[in-house]
Amino acid sequence: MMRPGPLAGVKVVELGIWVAGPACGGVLADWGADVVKVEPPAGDPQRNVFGAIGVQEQKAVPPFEIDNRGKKSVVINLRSEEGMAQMMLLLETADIFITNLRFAALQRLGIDPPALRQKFPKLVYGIISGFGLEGPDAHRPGYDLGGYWARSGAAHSLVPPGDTLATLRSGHGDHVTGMSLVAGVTAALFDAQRTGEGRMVSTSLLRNGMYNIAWDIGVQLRFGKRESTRSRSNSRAPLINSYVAGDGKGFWLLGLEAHRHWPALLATINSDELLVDKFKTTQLRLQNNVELIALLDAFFATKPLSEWTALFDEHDVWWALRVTVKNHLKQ
Amino acid sequence: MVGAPRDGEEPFEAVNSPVDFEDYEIRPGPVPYLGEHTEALLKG
Repeated sequence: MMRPGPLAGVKVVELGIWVAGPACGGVLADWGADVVKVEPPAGDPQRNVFGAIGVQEQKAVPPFEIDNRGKKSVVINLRSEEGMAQMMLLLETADIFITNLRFAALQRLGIDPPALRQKFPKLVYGIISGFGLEGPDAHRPGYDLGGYWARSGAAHSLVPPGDTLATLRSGHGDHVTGMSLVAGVTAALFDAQRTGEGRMVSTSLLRNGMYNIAWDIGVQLRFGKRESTRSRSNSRAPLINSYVAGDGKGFWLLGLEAHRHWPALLATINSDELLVDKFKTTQLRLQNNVELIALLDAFFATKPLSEWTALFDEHDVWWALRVTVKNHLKQ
Repeated sequence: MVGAPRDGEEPFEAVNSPVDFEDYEIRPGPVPYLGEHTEALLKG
């Protein structure tokens, strides 16, 4: 028997723009919450995101649709007394308030965390910023690219030394950050229902970027050096690397535990060229990685992917398809 | 992925929450028009 969503009956007021804040509200709505999206008279600018970058014709705006389905939209002019009274009316019955407006703007409007927490002690106040609520960058605009990718080091971590950075995809960091706030506000709501007391929950694009490259940051902190970023032809782990089969289809080998997966790969390829001393141990394969990857490239080019994957499965070689978004959806 | 069109609109699909709950199907409603619920919620 189907049950209501886990957040059924929970009332959320969202004052969110662009992606990160609305992404949080979107997931809360997916989980059954009643989410009211408060928009200025001109609307959330994400409604016109393609126009903002110069695209003239907008048939639909998938980036807006994704994060705003299942919500209710109300227009309130928060700069007017009447509008602010309407906002307070909504908040009176709200369990959670979420926003990704900049802190200074919230202060100017009188709806910053201390102000609303004082007025509504049980309210959970979730806020997303670009760079945190304190420090020299606290009031700077962020966006996904600035706060998550650029400032955290995540963008730099993708580029092999001496190489150049590709244009980054939008919304990755926003969605991760929105999901972090989902976790935070639901935990705070659980606590508020036990204690009767709400609290502010904050996260930032920067913090989420740092969390997502925590391995790199940890290596830098512990060893004082950068985690290696290399091209695939120079990967330190040839068994967990991307390759292309003879029909041009890409795949990844997933042999992280090289000592465990090497015998299966040997059985799959079945060539004496791999049964040589220089590839005998994990350490030797690391030392001779470029040569090994080139050799594997040559082997994999001899058969279409379907033949390789049948062999992989027969010998328990771990692998995954490397697909385009279009092909992913076809599958 | 779940389609969330409204009457008279072309259906579309989009990615929803990446978390699933037992015995609960995520079925998000349509994308609200700007201010669609203003009257009902603030002036009703």
